[in-house]
Amino acid sequence: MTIASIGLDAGSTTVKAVAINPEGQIAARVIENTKPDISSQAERLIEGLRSETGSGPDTTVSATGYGRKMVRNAGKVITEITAHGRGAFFLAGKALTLVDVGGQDSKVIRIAASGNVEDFAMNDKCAAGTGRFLEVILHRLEIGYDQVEPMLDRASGSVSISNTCTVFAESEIISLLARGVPVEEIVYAVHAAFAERVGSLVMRLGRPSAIHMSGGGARNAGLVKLLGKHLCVPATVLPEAQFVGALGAALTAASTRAGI
Amino acid sequence: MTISRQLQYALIKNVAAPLLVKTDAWKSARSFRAKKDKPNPPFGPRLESYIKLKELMLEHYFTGRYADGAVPVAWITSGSPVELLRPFGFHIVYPENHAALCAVRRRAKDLCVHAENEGFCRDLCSYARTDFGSVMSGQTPVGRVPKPDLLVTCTNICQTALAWYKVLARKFNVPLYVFDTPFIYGEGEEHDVDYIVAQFHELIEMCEKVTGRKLDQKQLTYHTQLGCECSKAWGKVLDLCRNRPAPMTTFDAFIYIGPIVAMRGLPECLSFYKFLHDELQDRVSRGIGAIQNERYRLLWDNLPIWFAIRDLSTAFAQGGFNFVCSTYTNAWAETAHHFDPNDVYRSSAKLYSRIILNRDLRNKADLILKLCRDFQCDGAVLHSDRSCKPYSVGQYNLADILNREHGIKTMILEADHGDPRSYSPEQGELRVKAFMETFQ
Amino acid sequence: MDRKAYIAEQKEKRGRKTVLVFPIHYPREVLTALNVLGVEIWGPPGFPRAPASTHLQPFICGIAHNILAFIMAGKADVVDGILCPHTCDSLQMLASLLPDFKLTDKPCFRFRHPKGKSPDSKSARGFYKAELKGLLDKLEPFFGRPSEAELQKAIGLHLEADELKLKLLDQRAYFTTNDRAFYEVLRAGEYLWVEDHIAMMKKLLESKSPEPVEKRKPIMVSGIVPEPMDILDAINNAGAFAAADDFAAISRRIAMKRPNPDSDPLDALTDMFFARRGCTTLGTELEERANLLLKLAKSRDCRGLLIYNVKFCEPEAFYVPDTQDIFKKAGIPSLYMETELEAEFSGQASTRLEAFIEMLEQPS
Ligand code: SF4
Ligand code: SF4
Repeated sequence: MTIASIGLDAGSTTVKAVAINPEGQIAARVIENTKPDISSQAERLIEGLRSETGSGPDTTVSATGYGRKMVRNAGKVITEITAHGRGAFFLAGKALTLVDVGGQDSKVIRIAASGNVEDFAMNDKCAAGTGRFLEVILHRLEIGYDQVEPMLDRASGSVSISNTCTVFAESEIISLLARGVPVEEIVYAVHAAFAERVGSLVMRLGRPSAIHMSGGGARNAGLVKLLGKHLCVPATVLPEAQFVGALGAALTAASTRAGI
Repeated sequence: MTISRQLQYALIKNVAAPLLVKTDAWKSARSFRAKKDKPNPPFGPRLESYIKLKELMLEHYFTGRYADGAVPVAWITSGSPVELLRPFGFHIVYPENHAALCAVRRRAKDLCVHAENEGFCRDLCSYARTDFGSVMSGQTPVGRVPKPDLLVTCTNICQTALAWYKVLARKFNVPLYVFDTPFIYGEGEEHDVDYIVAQFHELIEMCEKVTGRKLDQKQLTYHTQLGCECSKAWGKVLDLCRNRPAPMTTFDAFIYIGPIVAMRGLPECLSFYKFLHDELQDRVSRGIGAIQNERYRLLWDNLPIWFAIRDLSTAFAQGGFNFVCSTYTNAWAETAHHFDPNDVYRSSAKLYSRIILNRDLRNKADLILKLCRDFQCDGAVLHSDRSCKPYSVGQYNLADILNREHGIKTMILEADHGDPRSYSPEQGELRVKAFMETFQ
Repeated sequence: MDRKAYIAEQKEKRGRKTVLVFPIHYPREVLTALNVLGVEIWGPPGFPRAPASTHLQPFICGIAHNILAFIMAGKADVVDGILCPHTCDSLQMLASLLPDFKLTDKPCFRFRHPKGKSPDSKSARGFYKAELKGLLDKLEPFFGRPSEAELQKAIGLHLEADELKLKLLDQRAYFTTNDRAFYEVLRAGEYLWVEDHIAMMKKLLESKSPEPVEKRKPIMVSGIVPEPMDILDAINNAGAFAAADDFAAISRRIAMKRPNPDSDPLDALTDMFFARRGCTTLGTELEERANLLLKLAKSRDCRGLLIYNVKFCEPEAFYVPDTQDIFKKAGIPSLYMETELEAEFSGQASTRLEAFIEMLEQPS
């Protein structure tokens, strides 16, 4: 297998790495929960990809993600924004608005027809607009991602929660449960609140004609649908949704080597 | 200003609005009569004044829809010297009042979100965000708000309203007058008064320019005097709550405050408060209270939590707690005594600058203690309003002083006057219950 | 020499009393004329905030919290008074909270200035001058009264300092220092005696290269104060530098015009106040201000605008969307960031900044 480069996305919840061929296709991928020692974890994952694809030690590596600076022997290091912009543009092949829902942050990136990042927005420090928020709540209700969509379809949407602050929301949910409100209504309310929060982030860059989604949150099909509905635009999940950042990093590494 | 717009406006104001109000009043009067003698626990019987209030506000907002293009329109802050604008025939819009209405009708959150999506930070005063959201989306629960020809902001409530109106000035591209009333530490200085008096004249000049009319000094004296009488009448209404049981709760007063904020200096404002006063006086003489079982009396500090008034007032009333006074409702009555018809400008300068929000914490502490004494309060609730910094800073210490030095049980309620996302009703109610239990 | 040692030395060797000064706009010249050292406090991070948070709500900005924390930690025990300009709602109230509820026993001198007034407003000029007089009266029992000559001399010194600041800012690209070191010199005037500050700036000026040497991407920086100063390192590490400045702590306080040399000192000070560039906390007209900034940004070839605001700072935040809009229409992208003035610059913040600079670097 000819490998052009390796990209590694050291996120706060998971670490993703891909090896790409000269056409930019992903030849091998790996994903793991983030370990406390990111440096050695990254090293191990890169080594793993190298042996899997049979590529030599001189394959260039680029890193991104919140732990990007901990990755030793990475050539170019870029932020998640640039990496996701690149990866998403490669996958979509056109101008797009990307919504990436990650563990610790959500980001919206507007990518021009040239492939340039035109503008971006990230949620502030608070957990309300992040994947973590949904995770905490779903965990509390003992519900898996795959159960969400049918529940949302069933719900009437008659209940809403006013707070997207994780702490407040939890106490609101407890009192809803205590009042005997059906679980699907609560799940709906939580997702609606989340969609509103992320929707605001999208709207800060101006209303798009469509959105593409990536990151761990894109695996929640119910959320994708609801977000599209909330914004009144079609919402599509990018292929390789969890590897968009890693792919962008790999593409950067490849182009750096090619001198582009 | 076109003739046809003016004609239309005159027609609306003199024919359609009264008609609408009459029909509406007839309907509400009927439903009122139906409910009048029904018990309304935990509250006392309903007030007829409520229907009058609805009529008054309905007419105000309804005529407003057709004002621009017909008469000059000014948007002003609640503390602005509105009496000065009256002689020029302005239709006056109070964005704060409108924002409060949006909050009561539960429309504020969406408007805030709209403003936030346009880049306005969520930490800004929710009145301002609601207003921006309404201006930018054109959405309002009152049908339509007329566009301004003039903006007036007055720094006596906060510095926030200054920046807020700067943004409006750019959005509407109309003149803005900043009426600057320097904050008073201690007793205030003579040069503050000079500065404010000079600004009265500047503002008059600006009104003359915008409307193309000359000031009618007689009219000015008339409206200023009337404004002052309105404030006094409002003060008399509030004072009735010194009686036990109090004939009105502060939560009612938050609703009845509408005219003194939005129609000060107009005869209908004065006659409304006279009507309200008589009705309450009648209650007093018959020993009827605003809540059925008034066991404890409380003071409220800061703006109302507009979207939670009903829930809170019910929760308190059920426990036998009645709010009998507040620094907020008092603010529209507290400085009326400064007015002197022989020295309209200098006395008005004091009237406008000496309100609670423009004075230091020593003054606020004294005022709260005086209110607690005059109205025989057993406790106090200080609403720590995330949106309103000038009103909220110092409350932690005030609570301490009230609790420890004066034996007035005091709680802090963290919330927001307009943005429901900054208030957790569950936690709020829990705290309220716990607070009430300390009185047992 | 660190700040504390410097203040002690000024007291011992020069007999200079010290006044702690809150942000932002105040007549430092008056203190100088009285031989009093003004030490400004912009909420340096690092003091335990817990004591302050029993007096201030969490929605009050970090500057106000840190100031109170600083005072409650006893760090202001050495000063002879506190000067509180009427900057915003939060500081307005802090200036009352401190003396009214006895959180300090130092005298607090409150100084108000006109809000939202243009330089040609007669009433505003009259008020400012009257406030200056009032300030002199309030200071007199503690520090005496300056003569006219002393005031004139102080004004002269501060005008010189202002001119040096402007010169340095104008020629930022000719210096090899990084932004932090550069700003440390500019900001040293927050506590140095004016003549010491002048000497320091002159020294930096001597190190100027004949040609522009700065190779990083030029950006404009705006906000209340670059605190924690790590923000400046982060800018440099991301490959940019602060080519144009609009921090309230720095540029917004510089008198852009000299007063008439014949005017009496209080008139001169009034002129200097109204000759400032304008500031959100003074209620400057929005569009006028944004256009002024835009002109400056263009003249320095800035590729982007960074607005680095203090969280919960309302005056500043109100101006942001329109300013960003005006810059955007002129083709200059901007980034809005908030700081809570904690000791450390967060990883998330630096990611946003880096991403913004990466965005500016893309080939167009
Ligand atoms: S609520 Fe407070 S901050 Fe908002 S406009 Fe009123 S006084 Fe100003
Ligand atoms: S940062 Fe803003 S809110 Fe805080 S003290 Fe300064 S001007 Fe006031």
